[in-house]
Amino acid sequence: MTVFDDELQRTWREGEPEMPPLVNMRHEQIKLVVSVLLGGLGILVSWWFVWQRPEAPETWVLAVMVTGVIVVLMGMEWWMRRLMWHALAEHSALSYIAQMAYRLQVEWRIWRLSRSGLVVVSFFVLIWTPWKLMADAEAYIRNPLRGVVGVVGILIIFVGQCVVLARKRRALFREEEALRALKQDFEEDDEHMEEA
Amino acid sequence: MNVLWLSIYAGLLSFWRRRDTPDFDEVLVEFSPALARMAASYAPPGPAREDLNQEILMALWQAIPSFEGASSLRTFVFRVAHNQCIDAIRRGKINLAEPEALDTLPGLQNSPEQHAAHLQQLERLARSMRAHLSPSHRQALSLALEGFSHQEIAETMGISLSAVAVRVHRARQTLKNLESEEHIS
Repeated sequence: MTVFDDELQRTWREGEPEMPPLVNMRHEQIKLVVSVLLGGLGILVSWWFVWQRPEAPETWVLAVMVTGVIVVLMGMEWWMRRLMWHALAEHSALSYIAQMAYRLQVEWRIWRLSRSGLVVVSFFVLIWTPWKLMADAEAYIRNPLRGVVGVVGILIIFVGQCVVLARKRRALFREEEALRALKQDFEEDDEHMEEA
Repeated sequence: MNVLWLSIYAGLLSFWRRRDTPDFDEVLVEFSPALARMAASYAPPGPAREDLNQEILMALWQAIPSFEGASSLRTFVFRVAHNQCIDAIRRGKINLAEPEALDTLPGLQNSPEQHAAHLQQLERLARSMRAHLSPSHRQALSLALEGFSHQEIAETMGISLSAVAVRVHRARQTLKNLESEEHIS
């Protein structure tokens, strides 16, 4: 071992930066229970309002669809996180990178599925909105604010979904790039060294 | 925000975690200095490193119940920690392309003098590692400096023994060259 190696070792071992204390798990568990209860309460209140609107009986279909999609997406996210927790502890760095690449492929599939869903929903909204405006024209003339709020609300949801998808796409591209660089760093270099 | 999500998941899963595994607090006492050094080789001082430290601890807290003794506890702990760092690179939490300001060293005013001096040297070394070594070279060197054998490093990284040897050698050589350049200038 050279003098430089000794110095390197000493510098590394003697510097002891402090690790911050872990967030308090008990508090996180309480927060979790409270947020689940509040979320459940929020859903129940929303549903109660939906059922209380006899002038728009078709809205409950939308509510079921939205709730279903949210539950499915949350379930998939939880399942993927469980897989990644397992991979984190069980796999070597190179194997973990491969697992993340697989996860990325799944996320791309989900993203494409969401994009297709958005196209279908947009098509539905394009037909449904004018039809709804014409069918309830008298009511909207009596109370134009209702129509404005409805159309603006739909537009906000639509634009919001587009923004979310675009942001997710950018994040996925960034992850893809980072994973490619990591894979190259861990893998190709290894092959090159084996040859050498 | 990400730490909040991690803690929520960890909190949820803690309801059915096993009892017959290593005690997290003991693991923390034994390995936290080494883990903090490792995090320093990935993230600059400040919020990025604090987040990374927190994520590493969360990942360990989550992973320890699944430890079955197939490898040593030390190998297990560092595997989880390094994988968490790789995950942070993937998510863009650690930016490999962004150059660091040279005058950013952590606040050492409150530390005793000698400890502060050691810490400053370590920060310089960690900054050189971040700036000049790729993640795989960093990983190999930091494990070697923690006293891991080449065999253990190969298992942790999933690469061959010869590749480990070359990486460690190249990483040392890079740092040595940097030091020589600093002396000359």
